[in-house]
Amino acid sequence: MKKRFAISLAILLAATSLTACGSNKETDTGGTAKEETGKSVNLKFSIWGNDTHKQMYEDMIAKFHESHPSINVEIMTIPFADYQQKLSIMQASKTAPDVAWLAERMIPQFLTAGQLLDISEIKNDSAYNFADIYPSTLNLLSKDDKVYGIPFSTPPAMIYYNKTLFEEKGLATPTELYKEGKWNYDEFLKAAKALTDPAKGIYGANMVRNGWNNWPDALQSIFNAYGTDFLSADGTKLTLNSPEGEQALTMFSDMIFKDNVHPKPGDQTTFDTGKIAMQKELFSYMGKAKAVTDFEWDIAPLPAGPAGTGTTMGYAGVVGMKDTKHPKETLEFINYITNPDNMIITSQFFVPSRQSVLESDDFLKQGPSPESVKMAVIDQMPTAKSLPAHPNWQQIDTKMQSVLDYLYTQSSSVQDVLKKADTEITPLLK
Amino acid sequence: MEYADAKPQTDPVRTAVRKPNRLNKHEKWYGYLFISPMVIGYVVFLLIPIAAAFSMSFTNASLLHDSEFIGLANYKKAFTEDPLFWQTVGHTLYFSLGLIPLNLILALGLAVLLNRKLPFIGFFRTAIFTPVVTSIVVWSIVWKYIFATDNGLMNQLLKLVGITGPAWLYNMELAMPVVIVVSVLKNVGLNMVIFLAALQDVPKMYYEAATIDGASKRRTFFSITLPMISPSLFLALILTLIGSLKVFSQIQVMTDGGPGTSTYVLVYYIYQQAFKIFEFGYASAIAFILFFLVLVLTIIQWNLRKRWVHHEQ
Repeated sequence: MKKRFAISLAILLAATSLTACGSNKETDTGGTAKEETGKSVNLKFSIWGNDTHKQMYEDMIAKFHESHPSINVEIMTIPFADYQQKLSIMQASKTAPDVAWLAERMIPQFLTAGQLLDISEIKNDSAYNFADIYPSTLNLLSKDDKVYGIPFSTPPAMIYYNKTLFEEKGLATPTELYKEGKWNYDEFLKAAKALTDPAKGIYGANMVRNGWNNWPDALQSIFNAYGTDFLSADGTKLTLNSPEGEQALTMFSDMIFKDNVHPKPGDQTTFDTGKIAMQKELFSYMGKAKAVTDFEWDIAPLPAGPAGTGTTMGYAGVVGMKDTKHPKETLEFINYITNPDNMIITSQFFVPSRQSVLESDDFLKQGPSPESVKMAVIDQMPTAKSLPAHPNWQQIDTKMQSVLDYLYTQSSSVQDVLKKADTEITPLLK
Repeated sequence: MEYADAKPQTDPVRTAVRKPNRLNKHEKWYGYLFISPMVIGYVVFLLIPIAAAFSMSFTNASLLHDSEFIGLANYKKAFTEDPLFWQTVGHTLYFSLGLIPLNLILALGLAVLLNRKLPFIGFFRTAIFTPVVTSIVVWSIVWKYIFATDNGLMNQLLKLVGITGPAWLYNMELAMPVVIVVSVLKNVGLNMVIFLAALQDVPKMYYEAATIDGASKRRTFFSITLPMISPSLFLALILTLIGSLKVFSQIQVMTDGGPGTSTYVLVYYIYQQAFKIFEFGYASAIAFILFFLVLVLTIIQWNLRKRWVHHEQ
């Protein structure tokens, strides 16, 4: 009886798996058939942006659909904290989107694994004007003279400050201090202390955006300002465990736990609530900031440390995934959303990688005033450094998050945290 | 509790079916046909993946490179080279040992309290059972906000009485106890219902006899109630133990393993290895270590039950 049972089970299994294969094939051929006859093609486009970014792309896609009626594009939003993880898993299960945003830290992993679509063809399109894109911004997305993606956002980090709060206390604003050449971390801390008001729940400063696990975003510019880096330039050594690293981290830790001018770990108070006087943010926050009606605000560059402002640059590019079934349409879509006209549109949130757009009046108008955009964005671009990246970034990131928790919980001194970082992360750099 | 008798019963039933009867033969196939959806689902979605994971645990499978057969190296790594693995085992046992007594005692206490005829008793029973049918993720998110450092309900309440509350979930010593308490509150209703049913099954005559003999309430509870419901206690113990070894969602939502590695438990570690840093081979090996851990603990309990479980029907 057992045998019969086994045989019947085997037959049933075989039958189900056969039908499963069959149906798969059907949809496959269906897809290609449609492509050949020029019927509609569906592309998936993944982003981590907020709803204002999504709305902008939806309008752009509507126009794209007018000129390319056969291509539909669906936007998929994945929170930034889960983005790399989710995209890797989707890639492994062959369900990855056709077009995707990638940040600097994600690019080496996908590029090394050969999972990105070669879009070098885009150089030959004269209307696209590829030469207009700053060559330095293309480095991360190029390999062996081939291009694997187009950067669309290279924003220097900056300070959004609540002008109303500064006026109430009669303090000099960061903009004024910057013009006098006095905008450094000492002045920053002084202002933060003066602006903090526990009774009203107001914090003077917040370096953290996009969640507490996003430590490079919060800390790398402070490391730079104190003259150190997280990894050595070739990515083989942890350089943070140094006197400069200790100074930088101590400053950050004191802001939270000693001076109480910075929200505590886990706190997610945002600038637009009016409870943060100075918020480190990127240009892409402009949409949210412009919606603020309760108070006046402006932007200013980051304060300087002993080694300069150490301004970091966010970085996002749009890539095609190699496994896409529609490489031609994918390329067309990437071409469309990063062409000169559309980069003017995206420049309302994203600092453009095209020279013609960055230097245009259109871009200067995207901020609170042309003067502050020039000061906080354009003047900072030449010295801004990108955030650390490494093919092993997921592992390094996970380890560093749990090491930093020893600082955030005040379980270890800054020195011990740096030592822990050294022992945990150095083995991952081989 | 029928499982104790289930084994000896199967044989007579089987011989009965085996009689060479045409009708019976057909019926037998109908039976298989009816259970086939479940069996196929089980095989395709559980048995085959489990077998695949087992074979994967002997490879260095990863999303980032090709996989190779590496024998027992993953198991060796877990036991001898990876201090985080032992920490993780320790945290898992800490969670279980913290959760089980708290859960069982609270559930029993609540069951005894609610095992009486009072107005609105149904309301109270429902109220305590409701968390069990709530989504664990929703439950955890709500409690994460309650235990938030600055604006959390807990610390706001403490502020009213002049106490500055700690950073509950950003404290290496406090994070795990907080997760344990939140887990107990979520699941205590299930065990309470099991105990409530068992309590109502205890024949009244024993209590009458005890009253006539002049036994105290305490004595009645320990000498009659507890032994009479011991099969349910045993069931609840095994279910709670296995559940606690598999803890994941509340950890992932409330602490994400942190602060540091202070709430890394086995399933969280498996998830982290497989889906955060993509080491599927090593993650599979840890999954099988967990499987054997659960198996061994269950066998031990099963054998020990003869010492203290009475009145199994």
